[in-house]
Amino acid sequence: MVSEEEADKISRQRLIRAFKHAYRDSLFYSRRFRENRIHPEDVTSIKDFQALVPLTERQMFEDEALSFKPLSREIHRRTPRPLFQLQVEPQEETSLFVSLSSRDMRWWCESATRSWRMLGIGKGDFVAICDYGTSPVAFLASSAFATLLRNGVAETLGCIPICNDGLPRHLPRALHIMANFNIGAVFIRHDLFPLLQASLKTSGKSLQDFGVRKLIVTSDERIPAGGEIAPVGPEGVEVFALPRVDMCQFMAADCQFHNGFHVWEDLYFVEVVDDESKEVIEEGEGRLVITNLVTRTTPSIRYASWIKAELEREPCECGRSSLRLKLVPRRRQSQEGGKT
Amino acid sequence: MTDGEFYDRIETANIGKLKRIQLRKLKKVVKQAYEYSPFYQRRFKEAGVHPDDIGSFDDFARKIPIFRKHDVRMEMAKSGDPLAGVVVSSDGLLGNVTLTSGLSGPNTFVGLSKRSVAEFARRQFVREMWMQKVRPGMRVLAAAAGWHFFSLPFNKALDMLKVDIVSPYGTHFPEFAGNFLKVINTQKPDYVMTVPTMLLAMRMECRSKELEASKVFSSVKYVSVVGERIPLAARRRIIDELGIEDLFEKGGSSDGLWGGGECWAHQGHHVWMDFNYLEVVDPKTGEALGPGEKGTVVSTNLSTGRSTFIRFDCEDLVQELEGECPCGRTHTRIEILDRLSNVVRVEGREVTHYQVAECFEAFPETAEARFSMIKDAEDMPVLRVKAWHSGGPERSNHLRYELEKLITERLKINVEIGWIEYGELPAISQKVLAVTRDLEPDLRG
Repeated sequence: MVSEEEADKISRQRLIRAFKHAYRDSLFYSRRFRENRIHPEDVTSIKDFQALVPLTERQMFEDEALSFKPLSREIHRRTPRPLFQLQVEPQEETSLFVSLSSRDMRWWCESATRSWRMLGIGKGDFVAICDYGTSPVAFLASSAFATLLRNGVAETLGCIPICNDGLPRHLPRALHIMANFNIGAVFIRHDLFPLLQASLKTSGKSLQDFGVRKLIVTSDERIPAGGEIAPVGPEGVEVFALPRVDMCQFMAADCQFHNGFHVWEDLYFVEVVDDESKEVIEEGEGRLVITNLVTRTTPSIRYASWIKAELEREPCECGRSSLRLKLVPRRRQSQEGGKT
Repeated sequence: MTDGEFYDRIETANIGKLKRIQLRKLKKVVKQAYEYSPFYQRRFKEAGVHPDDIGSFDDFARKIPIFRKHDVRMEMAKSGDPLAGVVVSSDGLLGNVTLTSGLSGPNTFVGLSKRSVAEFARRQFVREMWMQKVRPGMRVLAAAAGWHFFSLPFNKALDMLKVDIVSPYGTHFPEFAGNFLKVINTQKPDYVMTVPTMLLAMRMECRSKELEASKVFSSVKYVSVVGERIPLAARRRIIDELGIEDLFEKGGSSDGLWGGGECWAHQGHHVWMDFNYLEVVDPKTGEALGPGEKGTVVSTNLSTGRSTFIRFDCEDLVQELEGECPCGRTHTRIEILDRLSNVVRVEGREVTHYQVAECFEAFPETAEARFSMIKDAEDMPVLRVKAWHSGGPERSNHLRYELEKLITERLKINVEIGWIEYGELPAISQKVLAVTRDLEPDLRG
């Protein structure tokens, strides 16, 4: 166990390393840093780092080098091979991709593993996953679900994942899985959650009838339902949420106290900024800006995510001292505009 | 060519050596099944057979009983074990559970260990992919879904072959065709791995958006498809349309955990004899059939440590091909024709989807054989077919007349063809559509 001070030091070192790496190896970022008149040698404190204006999804879309283009040297000059190139922002006219090396996959999986562990998933548990195979919730679960992954979450924790696809018409199959296995936890994409409830209603069953103890609602585009509704769901099952920002290979999970989403600070540096002024907000709500401290092939430096949140620095009742995200409820966020 | 970094010399080993390997492994698997699987032990005892009684292929065929999907479902219900007791493993450690396709009823499950996934990848999938021109450094579009057995060794094999993966958002269903197409158009993969319905959906998307498919696929050298047969005539059209060098098929069954792939000669699916022992039998009598005869495939897996199938009738209609393959590989070649359940009775005659498809393949506009047979009674006076053709509306009447005539001549049945639009085709090819309530349980798609 490392001390808080030591952990903080590791995070800072990683932050500077990530910044230098992006400057050196990514044409896109080095151009951006120069535009912001920032050189890695000048960055010695967090304040220096925060002089870099957050990068929005829209800016990435509008950048000729990035948007829906073939794998570009713009984003990483010294590309390790082979790569896992994932489409993370599929839209009608444009799209974004992240390229991941084996090392990057390992770190993303580390984040997922910690989240699953915090959710209380452990050895021998059967875990159902209702999402597409191309979703990180699914493919990080097992080394057999993706290339470049030596050990998936399940192999590390000793649990057994069972995937269902992410189409609504496949939900009856999810119930079939639950009916046949003693499923401890179900991961479900946020838009399937109400449909699952409807399916259950039609079948006259509840998740409890199937023995499901935990339901984890996950999303890369809006606050998953679990962040808003009571932790004990209508089916009498404890509901958790797992918000993600796949562009940054970021995920944060809530613990059994449901008092904000724990951030792994040795993997991510997060800040909250004001949407208008782009200034960092020390207290209060704002846009969550993420820097991935460990990914290399597609760096994420000060990426303005879709999440609006407040940072909670007080230790959680669960005993973890990590920073927590208090997400702005969906209704308010949608009034103010969701994704940037 | 049978050479290169990932070519395994056993692919061209002489048949005698392969048979010796098969028999040795067969005896070992039977012994382990008896020892570790209560399901097999009970079945063997009921059949009055002990592993020591199996000394030859003939002993195996005569003494070990065949079982089918129905038996698996019965065992699941009776024992409460979703894996139906077919896991043969000394330590019982499983890393993954996958589902079967569920085309013939509720999905059944398959249990796999990490080691067994790697073994499948090494002994079957890497060989197939190498044979189908996947090369290290290629950019491969792949969106493997973790629910299906196929995806797991598929991913591992791609890993072993050191390719770059392009992973589009979504899954291999037509609603994602537009996105997959955009990803191909912009990410420029060398290789596309998909399923026939998705490939058709992408081609139709090109047509509806007035895109030239060969331009969209300009970077793509090869496409491989799995899950359904693409008739040869249709395949040639697709190759021309997409401007690719070749289109390969893979096939098999997640029920009996067997599979194979085509080489460049496209003369059946090579099934690796050191990994699976296949028999082709008469579905009614269970009698062994020889090369060239059509029957169902009975699969025996030659390794354990996971769900292991021993004399499992997959109810896939196949034909073992005679002679040697021009590619030089010596292993069994199987042509996969259809599912046995894709059969209807018309005026007392059994008609398979495959037989009707052969008639459809005679015309360029219907060469892809996209049609469903309607089943509204156990025995019908006339076969009604819902089909799609790629010709314009002006061709509809003439094509209908010609096709009906051909089917009647060949199969001696009355037939009525009703054309449907491309968008009305089911997302997964449903070869038999049940339209009466009482028939539905047997025919869920």
